Amino acid sequence: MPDNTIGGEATTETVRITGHQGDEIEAYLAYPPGPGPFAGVVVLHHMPGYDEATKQITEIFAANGYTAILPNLHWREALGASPDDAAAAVRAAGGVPDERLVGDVDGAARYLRSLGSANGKVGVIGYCSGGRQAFLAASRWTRRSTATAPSSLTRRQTACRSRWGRWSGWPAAFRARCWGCSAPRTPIRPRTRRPGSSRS
Amino acid sequence: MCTYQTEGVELAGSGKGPDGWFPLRLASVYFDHPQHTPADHTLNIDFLNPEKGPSARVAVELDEQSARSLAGAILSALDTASPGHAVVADRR
Repeated sequence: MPDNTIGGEATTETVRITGHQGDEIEAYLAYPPGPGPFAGVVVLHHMPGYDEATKQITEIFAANGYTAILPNLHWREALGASPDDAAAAVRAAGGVPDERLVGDVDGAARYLRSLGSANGKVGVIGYCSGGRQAFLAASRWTRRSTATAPSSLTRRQTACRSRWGRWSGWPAAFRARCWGCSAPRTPIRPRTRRPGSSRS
Repeated sequence: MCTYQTEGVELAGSGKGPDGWFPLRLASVYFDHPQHTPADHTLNIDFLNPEKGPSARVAVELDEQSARSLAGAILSALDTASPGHAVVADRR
């Protein structure tokens, strides 16, 4: 059951996907209206966690015609904890293991391809620590159509000013949402929660 | 940028979180994006007890000068105390 709609155009819901070694993990799914076909994007959150800012980035992909999914990479260590507590627990434990990350991204990509609206093409993108993880995941994929180059915002302000132009393949709205930079922002449409719906 | 570079310190003492006091076992010290402070990066410290779950945490986010001042103040305060007076009995 969808959680909410975004300006009448995109819809979001929290889903469970099968990640590394068959583990079930939480993910945030955002999809555009209509039957598709749509390309998919796996969005990787930064070290501070599966937070609202990253969910908004996921929604912006959907508003631009992609089916996007944000796997909660901290799900196992901190079931039900707030994103900041979960991030602290994962950090104290040494971070997300690379092999597990790759397995979770593979699971998220499989989930996207399984959707009836999918066109079979899936990319992965992340920012900050998620940028390194996106590069790692893409480098492990063998299908050419899925080896999409990620963004790695090692220094966000510098990255926004000097690199976004080369990443013209990504939605302008996403580029403009690199928070903390001086790039102009694209307003996010207010989300409308459906009566009786829950939101995680 | 987000980084996994973290200084881990084993602790003996107590911290007060949202559910009251709890024994501290570990501190993570790192320079990264803050969750709350209006800055791009801060020096962050998580005082933790992993045995009690992710929510057993006292978190601080400090700007650089604050962090350096705090570090100096801790050492100064310790220098005024007699050695051996701040020992926690159940340190593991």
